[in-house]
Amino acid sequence: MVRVTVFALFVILLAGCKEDPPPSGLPLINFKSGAYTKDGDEVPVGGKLLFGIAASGGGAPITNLRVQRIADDKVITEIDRGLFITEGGLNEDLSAVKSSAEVELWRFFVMNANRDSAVISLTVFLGEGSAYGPIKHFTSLKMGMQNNSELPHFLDTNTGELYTNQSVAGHEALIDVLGFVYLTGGKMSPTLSCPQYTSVPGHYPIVGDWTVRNSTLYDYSAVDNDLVNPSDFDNATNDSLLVASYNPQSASGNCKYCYTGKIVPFRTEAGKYGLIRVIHADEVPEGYMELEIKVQE
Amino acid sequence: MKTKFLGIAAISFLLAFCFTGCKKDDPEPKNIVKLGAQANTSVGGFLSVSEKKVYTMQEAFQNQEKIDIFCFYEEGVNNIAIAGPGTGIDGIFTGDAAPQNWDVKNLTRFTKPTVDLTVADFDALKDGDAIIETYFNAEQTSGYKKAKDLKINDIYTFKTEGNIFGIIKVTAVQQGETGFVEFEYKLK
Repeated sequence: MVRVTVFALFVILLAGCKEDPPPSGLPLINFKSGAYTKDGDEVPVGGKLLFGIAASGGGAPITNLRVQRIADDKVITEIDRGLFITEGGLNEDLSAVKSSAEVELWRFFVMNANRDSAVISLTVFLGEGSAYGPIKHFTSLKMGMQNNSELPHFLDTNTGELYTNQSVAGHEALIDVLGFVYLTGGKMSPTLSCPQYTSVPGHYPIVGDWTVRNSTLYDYSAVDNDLVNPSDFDNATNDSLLVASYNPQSASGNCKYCYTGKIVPFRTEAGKYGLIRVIHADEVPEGYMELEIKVQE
Repeated sequence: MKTKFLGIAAISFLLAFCFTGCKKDDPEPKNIVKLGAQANTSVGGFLSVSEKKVYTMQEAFQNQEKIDIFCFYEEGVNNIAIAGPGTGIDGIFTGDAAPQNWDVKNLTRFTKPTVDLTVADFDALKDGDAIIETYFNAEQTSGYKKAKDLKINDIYTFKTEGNIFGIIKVTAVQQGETGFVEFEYKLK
């Protein structure tokens, strides 16, 4: 009798525990007003594009932001980022550089946890002349691998300054690049990475405690296939090559096989494009990398 | 005896477990405000957006720097409308405490949203969403000092003198000097 009562109660209570339906609102997305690139703007090749967008999840968390540039019949996904924004919605400023395409259609897409989506777009036309910008050139920066106790490990590409495990305290938000060596694909790989990359605290435990962990994206395809010509790198005096070399569709926060001689296109969290030439790369954790860097001012 | 005890214990455990598991989240409270027009003696007509508080005109006079929006009625074009103390409206309110006599007159700007927003869109917004600011038309250079002839489901955006951005949806209106407007608002 008792068993029957318990079973009946269980069934009744579970049936009463009906889950609320998910919020039914659709996400909303809109351009911010201010000094942003607007629909119909004409921008010369190399000119800066700045997009301000804000979005609401429509009562559900925002889970995805995707930004695409459609030019010359090609769709280039510039950003495809997983998110989980429950409060305040999305508020983003996104920078890019105008390509040589006559017309670029930019699409900004958000999706919420209910898989409902919203999209806005604008068109940018090619303006007269060019607007390639100046660059900084750091000719030699020596950065220790994870077990190197002599050289600093953490690089600010904006200034070319390197920080040790001690001196980086208070400067974590400036760090874009770090390096380590590990075994992957059966080979020891000198690797360029960034604070936000998930496996980095395994090599540098202190990074796991940083409150700001920047993401730098490296174009690994350009590295694997040697797409940047060394003499072009030598001759680069503005950011034309830096911007053109970087393909967002083959970018990762971790760039393996950065052996001596490789040239690595990258883009920092602040949106600056750059090229790293690996002058020297050891293949042991006690070793170091020597880097030559050209980066947008 | 032992079986009975175990049975009672099992039932108690199940009840505790199931009722705890059934707990629902509290719905997010809405900011709904009712503002009376100049001759409405039962509903205050002056809103402090930063405080989310309604004042009577006498109280508002003592707290001028906090007041961002008031309701007024003017037959014809404006009917039931809302504006900020800095809008320069004169001859509607009377007495020493009338807004035209204030030392601090905050200007609140009102615009239609920059894109078409439905009531469902408004309802989908959450208080605090960054997108709310984007609906305010910062490039509008005239006709922004009041939201007039308000009707149910009208949607307006506003920006206070203190740079608080908000969006309102009118939920009730009663015309006349003793009338009122009720609206829901969400702030960035």
